[in-house]
Amino acid sequence: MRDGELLFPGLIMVLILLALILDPVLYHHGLRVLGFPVGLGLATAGLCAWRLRQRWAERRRQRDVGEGQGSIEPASALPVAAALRAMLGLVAAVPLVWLLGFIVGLPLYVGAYVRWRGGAWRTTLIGAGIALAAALCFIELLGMPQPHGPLVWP
Amino acid sequence: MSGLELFADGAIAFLRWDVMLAILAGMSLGLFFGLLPGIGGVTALALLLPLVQGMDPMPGLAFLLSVHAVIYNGGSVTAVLFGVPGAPPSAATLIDGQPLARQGRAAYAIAAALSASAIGGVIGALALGLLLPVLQPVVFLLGSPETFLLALAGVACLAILGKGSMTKGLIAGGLGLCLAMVGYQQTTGVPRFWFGSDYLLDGFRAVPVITGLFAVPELVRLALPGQAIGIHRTDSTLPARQILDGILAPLRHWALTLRSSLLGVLVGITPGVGGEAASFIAYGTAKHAAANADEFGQGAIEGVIAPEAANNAKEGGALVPTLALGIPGSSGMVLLLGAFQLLGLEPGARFLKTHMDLAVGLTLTLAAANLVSAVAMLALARPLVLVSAVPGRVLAPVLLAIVLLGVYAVDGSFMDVGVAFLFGGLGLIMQGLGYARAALVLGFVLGRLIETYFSISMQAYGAGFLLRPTTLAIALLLVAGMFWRPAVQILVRRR
Repeated sequence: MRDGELLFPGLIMVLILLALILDPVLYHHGLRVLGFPVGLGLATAGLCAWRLRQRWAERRRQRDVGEGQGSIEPASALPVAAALRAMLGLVAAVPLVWLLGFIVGLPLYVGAYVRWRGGAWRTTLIGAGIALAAALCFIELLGMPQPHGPLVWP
Repeated sequence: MSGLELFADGAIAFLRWDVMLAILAGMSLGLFFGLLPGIGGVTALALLLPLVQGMDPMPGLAFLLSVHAVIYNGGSVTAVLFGVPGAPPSAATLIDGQPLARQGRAAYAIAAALSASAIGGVIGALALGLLLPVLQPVVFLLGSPETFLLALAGVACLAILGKGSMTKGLIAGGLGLCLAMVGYQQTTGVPRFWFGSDYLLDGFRAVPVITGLFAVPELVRLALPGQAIGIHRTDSTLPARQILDGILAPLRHWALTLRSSLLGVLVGITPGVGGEAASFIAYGTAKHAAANADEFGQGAIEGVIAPEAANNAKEGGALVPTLALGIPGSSGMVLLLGAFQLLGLEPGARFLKTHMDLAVGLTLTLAAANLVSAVAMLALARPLVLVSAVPGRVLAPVLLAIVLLGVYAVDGSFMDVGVAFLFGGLGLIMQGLGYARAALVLGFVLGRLIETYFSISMQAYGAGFLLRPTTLAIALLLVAGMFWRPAVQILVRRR
């Protein structure tokens, strides 16, 4: 059974321990450089292990009480599939901006997104217009380092 | 330096055209974001953080502080008119504000809320202004060992005293500290944990980490199907007579306003208690002390005044430990500490030693932003509330466009955009599982500072630095401070 309450601390613990092992192996750093991070990393990994133990105990208690008693700690998780879809919808902006640049890519993304989500043409155009204005404001008025053209070409 | 000289230095730092412009811009954006249900103070700060990159410290901090100081003013208006609080603290205002609106006295409730907010904000700023000069000499006594311990305790406090499980809070804080260890070590200049990636040589940047953790999850929420941001308005006419009565209401209930404001300051000073607590504690106290307690919940104006005064006053209180000790009084203050890093300032106990003028300037900013925003909101409430009707499917991509522009602008690196989304995913998971994102950010922001002061302390005093009398005293005080909540909980359970 998948359980985010187990997977998350478990993953964090593995990643921290992996980083702590790989760094001295690859770069041969000594205690002077690694002493503090090793202390921190081990403490954090220890807390993750403690959390895993707590969660196992919670699950055991839940099993003893019977299925369907609900989670001991209330979580405010979003529905995973819907959140993933929403996240992908937002991430779609990245390749568009990468390929077409901020001035063209951002308004195009906002327009396409609003239209895809059932917005009226008027709303779509207003949204795209705001994105274009924001991009121009950043680049022209504030002098931010965004290139005028696509980011993918030199 | 005398108090008057300190004030004069602060006033000089404050009275600049670029600072005024920053306050006006920050205030306008704060009110705008406050009107959008779901976009709280922390999310707004995360969205706007990249904009301060490259600015002078005073206008940069004034901009962010103005956003944070006034954001709940907008939220109170939507809470009264539509029953939709713009941010969690405004939920307390809703309890009596909505019944007042249903009785046709929306303008009265809104004006009272804004007037109480302004008074509370000014009292909070006054408290901050009075406490900073008192704390400055104390801060001068702090050496590297004490600074190290205070910064470490700040992370621990936020992790332990935050909402939810203590273990989860400590894991989040520890993870933030570990993430700060990536890249060049400050004391030796040796890169660590970079694994062949040039990007990681300089470590993770604050803006993509903070924006990813706080802004991206909120955008995902907004983008979910069916997440309409506001409710279509019913009636938002604001008669002048009601407005005048509302403005005067906090003055008529001056004792309640003062008591709630001071309560807000106290809650703000206590690290980790959080913004929402101030307004609900003030509401509860007002109801408990009121002669008309049975009217609470049915449209008592005291139920609007108390949470609003406390809520804005707490920002002044929260700035006290943030500026004096580097221990943030609220999640918003954690992001403000992140901005310190962006602006080239050292967050932590040494800030007051070197930047007292900035601290006084920020006090004046807090007072000015609260006063001006209340007046602006009163004048513009009617047209501005229409903003809250914007659907999430439109708002999410537009705000994302601003996020992408801001994150890219910091270093001109597209990798930052990828890192922001990576931390966005992490933020979503942490939010879902109840891990404190603010603790992670504080650990990340203070991580390098903690390591540096630890190294200096070890070199200067050896491991015995932990046994110095001042260090021991701070450690004992902080341990007591950190564990008071669990101790009280155990005592209550035993009874």
